[in-house]
Parts: sequence; C-alpha cells; structure tokens
Amino acid sequence: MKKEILIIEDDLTLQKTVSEYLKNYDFQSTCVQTIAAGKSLFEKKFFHIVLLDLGLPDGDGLDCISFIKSIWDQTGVIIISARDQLEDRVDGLNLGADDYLVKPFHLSELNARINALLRRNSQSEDQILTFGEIKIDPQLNQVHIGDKQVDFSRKEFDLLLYFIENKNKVLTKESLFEHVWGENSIFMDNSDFIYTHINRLRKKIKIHTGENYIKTVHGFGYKLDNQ
Amino acid sequence: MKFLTRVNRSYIKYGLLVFLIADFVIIAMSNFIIKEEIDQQLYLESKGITETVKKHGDFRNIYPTDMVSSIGYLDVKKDILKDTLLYDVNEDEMLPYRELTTYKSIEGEHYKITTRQMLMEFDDLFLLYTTLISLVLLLIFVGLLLFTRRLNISLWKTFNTNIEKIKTYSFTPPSKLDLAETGINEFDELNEVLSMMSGRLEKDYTATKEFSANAAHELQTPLAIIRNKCENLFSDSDLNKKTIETIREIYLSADKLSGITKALLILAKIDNGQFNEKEMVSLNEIFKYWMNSFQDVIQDRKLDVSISAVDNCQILIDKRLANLLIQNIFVNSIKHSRNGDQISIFLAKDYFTIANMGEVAILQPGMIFNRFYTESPNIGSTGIGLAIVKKIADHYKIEIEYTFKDFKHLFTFNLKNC
Repeated sequence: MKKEILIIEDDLTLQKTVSEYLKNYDFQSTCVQTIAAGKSLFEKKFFHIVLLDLGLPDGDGLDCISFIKSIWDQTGVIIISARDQLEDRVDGLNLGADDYLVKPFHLSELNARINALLRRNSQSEDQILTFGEIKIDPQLNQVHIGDKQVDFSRKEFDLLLYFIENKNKVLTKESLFEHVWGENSIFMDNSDFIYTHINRLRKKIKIHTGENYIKTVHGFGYKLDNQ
Repeated sequence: MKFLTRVNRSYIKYGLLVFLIADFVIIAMSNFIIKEEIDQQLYLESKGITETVKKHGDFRNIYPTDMVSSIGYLDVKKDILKDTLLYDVNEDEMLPYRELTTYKSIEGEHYKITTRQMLMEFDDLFLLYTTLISLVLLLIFVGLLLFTRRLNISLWKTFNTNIEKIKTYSFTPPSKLDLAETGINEFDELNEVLSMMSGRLEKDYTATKEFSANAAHELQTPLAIIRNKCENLFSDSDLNKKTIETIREIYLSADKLSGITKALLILAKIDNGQFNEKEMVSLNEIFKYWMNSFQDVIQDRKLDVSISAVDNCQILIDKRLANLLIQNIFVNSIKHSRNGDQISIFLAKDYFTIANMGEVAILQPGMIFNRFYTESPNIGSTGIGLAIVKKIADHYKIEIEYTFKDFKHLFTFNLKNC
C-alpha cells in the first residue's frame, strides 16, 4: 500500500520537484497551493503525512495544524518553511507539528524525516530496513549483518540509516553533515571531516560483509550501492 | 530646568523689580504727602501763634517748635519753608525738622514766627516701608508658589503619564502609542503630532521589517529548488567532469546564498529589536553546550579546546542571542585554526576571552567586524559571523577588543556596561 502524502506549498516548481522525488520512494503525493484546498481534500481522505509550507497565499500554515490534527490525529505534519528556526520552529512544534524542516532542505533529508515520522506513527508494521545482508532496526537501534548483531556508534548508526533510506542516491557531504550533526555545513569548507566518519563506517561494513557498498561519487559525495 | 522652577525664577526676578519700584515710589509718595500735611500744620500753628500774640501781645517760646521774635521792618521777607537739622541734647544727634518762617506785622510791631515739626528720619521711614512692602510681596509670592504647585500637579499629571507612555513605547506590536487627553490645547496638539509621527514611523518600520523578512524568506524557496535540482542531477551517471564541477559550484553557491540571506535577516531582526526577551544566562553553560555540539569537529581536527572559568559569567540577555553570539565566535575560532591548534576560552565574572592560534595578525583589525569582510580565501567564509557577533555585542553594550600577541588572536568581551 502506497503511503499518501499531501503537499501544501504555493511554489509549483518546488511542489513538482518534491513530489517527483517522493515518487521514487513509493509515496503517492497530492499537491495543493492553498490552505483552503488542503482543508477540503483533507475532509475526504486520510493522508499519512502533510508537508506544510507556512507562508501561503490564503494565510499562515500554522493555523491549519490544529485542524489537521482534529480530523486525523494519525497524520504526521512536517512544516517546511523558510522562516528561521529561532522563533517559528518552536511555534510550529507547540501547535502540534511533528517536525520542522528549514528551506532550503535536502530531499534526502526530507525523505529521512518522512520515514522517521511514519515509523513513529505506525505501531504494528515491521520497521526493519534491509540492504543486502544488512538489517537495520531504527526502533531498537540495532544492526544485524547476516545473522550477527554488530555494534555501531550513534553517529555511525545515523549515517548508515540515512544511507539505507536513500540507497542508490548520491548524498552530498553537506547533506550528510546536516543530517547527522544538525548544523549547517559551516565546517565543511576546509575539512575532511565527513570523509573520516564515512571511512570508519566503510571499514566496519567491509569487515563484516567483505563488500564496499559506500561508493565515492567524485565531486558530489557518496552513494550506497550494491551493483 | 523644570518648567515650574523656570516660572518661579521669573516670578522672583519680576517680583524683585516690582518690589524695588514699589519701594521707591511708595517712599517718595509718602514722603511728599507727609510733608504736605506737616506744612499745613505748620501754617495753622503759625496762625495760632499770631492770634495769641494779637490777644496777649506776647508769646512764650517753646524751643524748638514754636518761636516768635521781634524784628525790624527791614528784615521782613516772604514765608520760608525748608528742611533743617537741629541738634538734640537728649539724643545727642542732629535731628531733621521741617521749618516754617513767617513774618507778621501785628499792631504796628514786626515779628518773625518760626514753627517747626520734627520729621521722621529717612532711614526709619525707609526701613518701615521696605519691611512692610517686603512682607506683603513675600506673602503674595509664597501664596502664588503654593497655588501654582498645586495647579501644576493637576495640570502636568496627564502630561507626565503621557511622557511615561512615550518612554516605554516601542515599534514592536502590540505596543501602540495611545496618549491621554490632557484638556490643554498645547499639550493635546503635541500629542496629536507625536501620534501622527509614531504612526508614520510604525508604518515605515513595519514596511522595512516585512521587506527584510520577505526578501530573506522568498529567496529560500527558489534556493531549495536549485539545491534539489542539483541533488537530482548528482544521481545522473553520465555527466562529464566539467559538468560535475559546475553543478557542484551552483550547489555550493546556493548554500552560501541561503546562509547569507538568513544571516542578514538575523542582523535585521536584532536591529529591529525583535529579540527582546531577557533572562539571566550563564555563558559558561552556553560555551559548554557548543563545545559539546562541536565535539566531533574538534576531535576530527585534533583541536585542543580548553574552557577555564574563575567565576560564573552571567548576563541578562535574550538566550537566543546569547547562543548566536557564542556559536559564531566559537565557529570563527575553529574555522581559523589549523589541525592540532589550541583554542582557549576563559570566563570571569564580567568578561570572557577566546583565543586561537595564528601565524600573523589580522591585517585590518578594524575591519573584521564589518559585514562581508573576510581575510580567509576559502569558499565557506561569508564574513557575516563576526558581524553578527558585533551586532549582538553592541545591542547589549558589550565591548569587544581584539589583540594579536604571542601568535594568538585574542578576543576579549567586556560585560561591565551591560
């Protein structure tokens, strides 16, 4: 069953970019440009996730969070806004939003956030992700390679999960840094910081699988790939 | 000077003038009137003496007031009225008298009749009148003072509450300048002008605020698109090296642009006073927090970061700004350190310092806090970090000093005045 996502965003190009990207990951996206249109859709149909822009033509997205939650409290709301986190992040989360992404965001990051939210909101489903012989359980923070449990540090685990969620996609150094360290890439300019961490993860996977799955894509970043 | 003090001062000046004039006029007039009276009396007495001489043919002199003497015909002159001084044995001083000398012929005999009246000495007169006038004027003045003071309190009451309102007025909503009616035309006119002015300023302020917020926000959506399109391109495998480099540069520039607009928005918001919550914040805690958050980077670059404190460095500040300040100054030090360098942070009660190693002093230390000024050529430096630091410091009157000594860039933040 495809997960349904409602995108409320007034910029058509961004709508298109996001929905096309999400299609690759088996999400079914519906796009609207206004709060009113979003609300009318919402009354008819259940969406697993709502991606909500704040500055919309007919009002502030913050105002419709409580509306969404009042109809389907199972729906996850992710705010996607340019407003800086210093004030609005807190507001949005106080009003019942589940997550907050600041523009400009990485699509891979959006994908990771959507997955995390779906995991949190669904109780029953099997949440274990697999890649080749690697099994990762985000709930228990466990990684099994073959039938052996392997210990990973918190950061390594976050990196691995991010890679597996975005497998076969190139992840830039910047997006890796932001995902794991939550800061913008202020330190990216003159350090091999990411490289050090990726290398450590690579080695660990190689020890247990004999394969080097994390490929360097020259000039861009890294990619988890088993071809 | 207070309005009332000013008014009272002019009252005093004016009062003194009035007093002097009144004193002079009253003394002169009373002098004149008294003399007129005395002269009349002297004539009457002289007449009385003439009658007595007529009746009795003789008059007993009373020195020095009533005296008659026989004279020859030749000595007969006109009546003479004059002021004169006579020696008084009892008082042992010369005393002023008014003297009338008349010449009369009675029964063929010629007489000179002199009548005198003692006058009040001028200094006595002066003293008496001056005292009287001063007393009256003083009473009037004190009464006036008390009266104006009471009037003042009621008159200025609304004015003062309005002043307080203006003092606490700021452009940030929900503050609206709502001045009370004073019932005094001049004050009300002033209120009207102030309200109009504040209205205009509020409009301008809101417009500026909206502009900077919109400029910063609306740019982020296209930037998000650029970034995402680039990311989608990265997964294309048949791009040549040159294209890859170009896309990467576009991608990084979009990042940089996004950072710049966000930083500029923060600067504008600090200027607009949009961060005005205040609480006691311990900078020791904030330094520790950021140290923790940069731990991986610090380890990766093998930096030796030490925080030493002799006291809890506390400051009344908006916590978000405190975080921004420390984050930016910390990032600046990390960025400009080479691998394996030392960074030392020191906190005292009312100042803190942060030092990182360097080969040479900054060429233009006066410029480092300017926006977009950077002496490091690497792509990730926008030159806004220190501008944010400076802006926050200025906002709270924190003084920043930069020195280069023993191959160390040392920033000292002095919190004495905030």
